Amino acid sequence: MADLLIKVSNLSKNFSGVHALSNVNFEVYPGEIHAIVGENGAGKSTLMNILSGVYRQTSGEVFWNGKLAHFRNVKEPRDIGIVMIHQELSLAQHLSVMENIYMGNLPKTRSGMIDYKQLKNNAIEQLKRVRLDASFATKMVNELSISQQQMVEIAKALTLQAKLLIMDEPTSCLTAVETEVLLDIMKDLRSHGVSILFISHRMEEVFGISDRITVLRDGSSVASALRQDIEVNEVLSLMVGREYSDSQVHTCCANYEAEPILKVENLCYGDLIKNASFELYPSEVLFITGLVGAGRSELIETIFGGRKMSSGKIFYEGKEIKAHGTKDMMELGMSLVPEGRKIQGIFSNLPVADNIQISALKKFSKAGVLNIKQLRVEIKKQVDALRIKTPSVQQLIRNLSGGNQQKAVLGRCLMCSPRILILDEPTNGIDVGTKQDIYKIIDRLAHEGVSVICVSSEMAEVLSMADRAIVMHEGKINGILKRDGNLTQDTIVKYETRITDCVPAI
Amino acid sequence: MKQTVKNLLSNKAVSAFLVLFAMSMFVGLKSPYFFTQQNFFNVLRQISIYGILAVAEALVIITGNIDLSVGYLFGLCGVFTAVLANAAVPAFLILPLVMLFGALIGCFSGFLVTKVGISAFIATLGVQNICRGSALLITGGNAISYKSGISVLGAGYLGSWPVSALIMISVGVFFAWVMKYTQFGRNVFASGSNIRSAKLAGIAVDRVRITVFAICGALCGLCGIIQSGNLHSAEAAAGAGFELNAIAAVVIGGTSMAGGEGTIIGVLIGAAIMGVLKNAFVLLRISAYWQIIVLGFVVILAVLADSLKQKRAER
Repeated sequence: MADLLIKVSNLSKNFSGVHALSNVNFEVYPGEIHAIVGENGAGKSTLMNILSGVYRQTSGEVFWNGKLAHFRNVKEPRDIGIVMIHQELSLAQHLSVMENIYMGNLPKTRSGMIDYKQLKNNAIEQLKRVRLDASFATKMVNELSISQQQMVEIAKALTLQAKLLIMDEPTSCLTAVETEVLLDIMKDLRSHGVSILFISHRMEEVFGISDRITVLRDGSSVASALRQDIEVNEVLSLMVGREYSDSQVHTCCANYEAEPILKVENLCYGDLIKNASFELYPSEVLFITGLVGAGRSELIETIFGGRKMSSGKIFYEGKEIKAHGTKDMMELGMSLVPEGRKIQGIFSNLPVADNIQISALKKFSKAGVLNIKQLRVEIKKQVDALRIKTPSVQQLIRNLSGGNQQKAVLGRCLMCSPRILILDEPTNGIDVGTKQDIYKIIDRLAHEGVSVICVSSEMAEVLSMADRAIVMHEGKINGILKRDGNLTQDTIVKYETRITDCVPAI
Repeated sequence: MKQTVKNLLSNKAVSAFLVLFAMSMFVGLKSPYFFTQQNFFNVLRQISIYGILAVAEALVIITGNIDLSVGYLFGLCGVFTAVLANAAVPAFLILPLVMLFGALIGCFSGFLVTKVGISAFIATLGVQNICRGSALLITGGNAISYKSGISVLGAGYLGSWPVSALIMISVGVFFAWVMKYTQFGRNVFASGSNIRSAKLAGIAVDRVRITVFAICGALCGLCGIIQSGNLHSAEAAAGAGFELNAIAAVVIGGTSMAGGEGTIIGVLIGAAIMGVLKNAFVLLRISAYWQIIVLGFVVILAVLADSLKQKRAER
């Protein structure tokens, strides 16, 4: 056992009577990348929080280098070399990168003043290890992209002599290219003897980089195995607890003969969207993909009226749209499931019922007074149809798992009976089971005549779900690819990274 | 059954009510006068202004803002009432005029907060001073006495019920209904819970917030009439410090300062707790200064219980 870096034995955690973790067991060896996978609510984050001293376990032991370890606060694990990088990055936005890296540990001159020269040199040294340019040392954190901030977090962790780096979904906000860089850095660290424990929902990553995989389900570890000893579908089945099949869920039913329901012509939004033109057909599932920062969210937000377009035209069923605000678009029959469920999706301190009904209140009220009975029936319909798991609709939505929160936001949109449903990264940070549910719902809606626009970074999702896919690059539509035509992984990568002539699919 | 009891106890309005009940029992034991009908109506009359102001403030706080101008705004509205009455404006016109005046000033605050983008704390601090200065300018720092039928709202009785208390109860019932059963009420909660979600869900967030400030202002107008009617005179400082008491009542009643959470019934219970507290110190013949200190502790305790519970849940 002397060989082990950390051993977790029969770890359990109760939150006011609810089992978040029960009897979790796994081991991490020095210089190992260890993936923790599981559906949302399986207890991954709770586990990480115990190891980093945020929570205390109810029972069970953690052994560090063979010795029993008790973490009473967040400082103790950090002192022995366990550093956690949270999903929500925690850098001070208004301080420079170098100050962030050495926060709480700034080098001082003999007179006790901060030694900025030394600080800068040290910081540059650390930035090299995460492949960031020396010029970043003096930049403010709020000028950095999310992925760059993440690199800074890692650099900061490295200054603490981390022996075990814990990363909670480090790639959930990164593009394919950025993810590659991060994975390379992780491999680098491994070769320097640092162990990494990371949570991920993306199987390509888990199988691409990790040495060992531990699967959590309902708070228990159901398997912990070397990568070469386990198959992807096996892991997925273990996570979900039933047989998993990766079959095609969506069959194309788009009506390309009909008049497009939505037509966008030369749409511009500042420098972020340049002359975007495309059409959306009835019953079509149209994906928008590209790297983060390519302007995908901006494009749909501009169409939805959340941003005011600089120039261009939008036609709805052949008629040009004049009044162009969020409310006007919703009245026309458009509905948006926004990106970032917690930040701009849910109302965390309101019940599930409010979260579902809020957009459709006008439809179910008379002179401003709500028709409570009818609303109750309609909410029930959504909860049943979307299979939202909640003890009651009066439950506060923050007590639900991420996937069920997302379904509630989707239910909010569906309650307005939209004709065009726009989804922005709907499956980001959602477990496999719920993902499949959401794909099935999209398929069902398309067959019911709803047109769907979906922004996504996930290649597998685009390839299996899209009838057509718009690929964006730096604010421009670089290509529109069609299923059973040129919609392949290679073409997407080609169009999202390079400037090419627009290739229309139709 | 056990679960129901537990759920009930975690309801902030219920726990506030239990505190009120325990306090009343204690005071009742110490002073036999407490549970007389006369004292009951007396307390009710005393808390009528707090109650209405607290409801007004609660609406603003649920949208995630705060209104510091309510105290001096209702002082100014009292002065406006006196001016109108002395100009022989008929009583039935004074009520709508004063409430409209309050609503307009509320709109102004709301405009500053939503359209100009000044934080509510600063914007309403500015409006507070504008109201205070204007009232002082009009009155020259003195009280203006007046005679008008409108003062029945402040000084009148219906049977043994003070009219002001009946107004408070109606305001409370009306807004409890509005918050729960109307589109506007639910939009208020949604706007306060998450403003970005609310915008993307198609709620006209700015309109909701301005309306709430306007309602708050109108209710300040109502309080101005009640207060000045009760004394048959108005002065600029009539509502000095009331904004903080209103906020205290809102907090004691279980409303979250972060917005999106709270009940009107809880707020009224909060106001009642403050009223009973005040009454108790008079009946028990303890210095009124102690009452202020105790009130301070009650406010802290009200929030403390909640944050301790939250902290334990996080551990």
